[in-house]
Amino acid sequence: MLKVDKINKAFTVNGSEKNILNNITFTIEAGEFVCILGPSGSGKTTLLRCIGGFEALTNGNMLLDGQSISRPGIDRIMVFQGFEQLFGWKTVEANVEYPLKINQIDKGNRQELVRKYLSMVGLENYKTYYPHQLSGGMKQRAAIARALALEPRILLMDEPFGNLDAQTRNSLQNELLKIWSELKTTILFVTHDIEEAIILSDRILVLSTSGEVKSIIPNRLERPRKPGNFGFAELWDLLYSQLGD
Amino acid sequence: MANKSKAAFYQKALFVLILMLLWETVARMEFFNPTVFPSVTSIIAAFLKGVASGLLVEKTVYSLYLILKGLILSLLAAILLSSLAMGFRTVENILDILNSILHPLPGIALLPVAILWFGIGEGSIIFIIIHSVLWPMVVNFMTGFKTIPRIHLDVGENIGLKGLHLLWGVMLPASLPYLLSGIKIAWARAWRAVIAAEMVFGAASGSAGGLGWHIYMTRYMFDMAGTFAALLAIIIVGIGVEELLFKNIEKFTVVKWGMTI
Repeated sequence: MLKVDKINKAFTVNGSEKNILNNITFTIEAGEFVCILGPSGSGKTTLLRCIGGFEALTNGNMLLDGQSISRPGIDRIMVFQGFEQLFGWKTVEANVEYPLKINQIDKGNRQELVRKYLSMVGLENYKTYYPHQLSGGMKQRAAIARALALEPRILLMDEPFGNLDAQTRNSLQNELLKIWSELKTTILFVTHDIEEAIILSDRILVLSTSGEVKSIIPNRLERPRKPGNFGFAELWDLLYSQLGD
Repeated sequence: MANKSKAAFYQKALFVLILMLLWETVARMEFFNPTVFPSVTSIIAAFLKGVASGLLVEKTVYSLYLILKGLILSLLAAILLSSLAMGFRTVENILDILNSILHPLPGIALLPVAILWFGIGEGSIIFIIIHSVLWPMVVNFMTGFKTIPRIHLDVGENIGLKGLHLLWGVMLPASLPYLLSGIKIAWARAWRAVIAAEMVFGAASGSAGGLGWHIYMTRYMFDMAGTFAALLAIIIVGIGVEELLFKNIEKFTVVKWGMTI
């Protein structure tokens, strides 16, 4: 369980303090899929980076299964939007294996994990490819496999499909859901796309432009969700009204 | 692709051949005094003789040994300094001012100082080489480190890499195109430094000295074909290192990884 308790994050911009995150409090249960939705500049990415341990909080605290978060760790693995998150000098296979290797997982287990997660994202035939030989969608799949192989307690995803075309995004959303229902990993997923948030999540946390939690909206629509389905449009309207200040 | 590089090779070879023919013609016409403008054939003969007698090989190997020693020391120092600069702002500032002060200083200008400090011999030459190559390497390495996508470093930290492990696992491979171009510049600079330094006091360095001293001595003996043969040796080593060593290193690293700059 992730517990975020009254956190604040301020940056110094052009000499003056600017609050990016204001008094944010929420919890995520194990196995839950939560989306953070917000207009650009609302601090979505900053919030995720704080939970990832990449940014120090101004105040407040965060607990993951009772342990305080202060630095990056393999219990919280981040999947980024940028395609260059894979290491260009390693093959797909080596990219997935490398984090396991440096975390002292023995070779036999390592190979088993690499095989399992590469086939889970459908890249078993591309394991000897270098990242520059892959399409954008494949790169993101590989990054997801790398993250999953470490079996983190929570997967932090920062608009991972934001740079993909609509079709690829759709199929990756479906695959992510399939993987999630299989592994029951806890996922915190940042997006600015209302439709994506509805399709993926159990709950949607809406951030306001001032960096506060505007609302946390449960999403109980039946899966698989499609824009034409019952309740989809109503939820979309509700979220849309929440996004506008 | 293969055809294109083959065509390029033939073009380059043809150009060199034409150049040699032109040289030979001018020399044969005795347009200039043959003692100062030897023919290509006499240069090649002197070169082959030098190789056969082992003298030219010995000189070249000695100069290469000095270069390699200076390059390896500089490489280690450049990696250390530029990675420290990434971690500490103060180091970066100090390097910045040191670079501004020392980079424009020609190595050979420091030779009198080097002789006083390290004596006449290998120590001084190594000092000159290090001075000549360290700064361009540091500048390239720092640019390389600075252009590493932040996301690489984030991923590195996320999976548990810190300090030296982050340097070795992410920073060095991610900036390899810059590291390689720094090393290439350093290699060319090291040749210049070693030849220049040897010409000034090569033989005094105890052993027989390297190519620089050989060039100086052959000129002194008015063996111009020998001088050009030594220049030819430098050219051949240079082309060999560029075409065989650097091109292959690039082929199996940055080109394979799609990371060329």
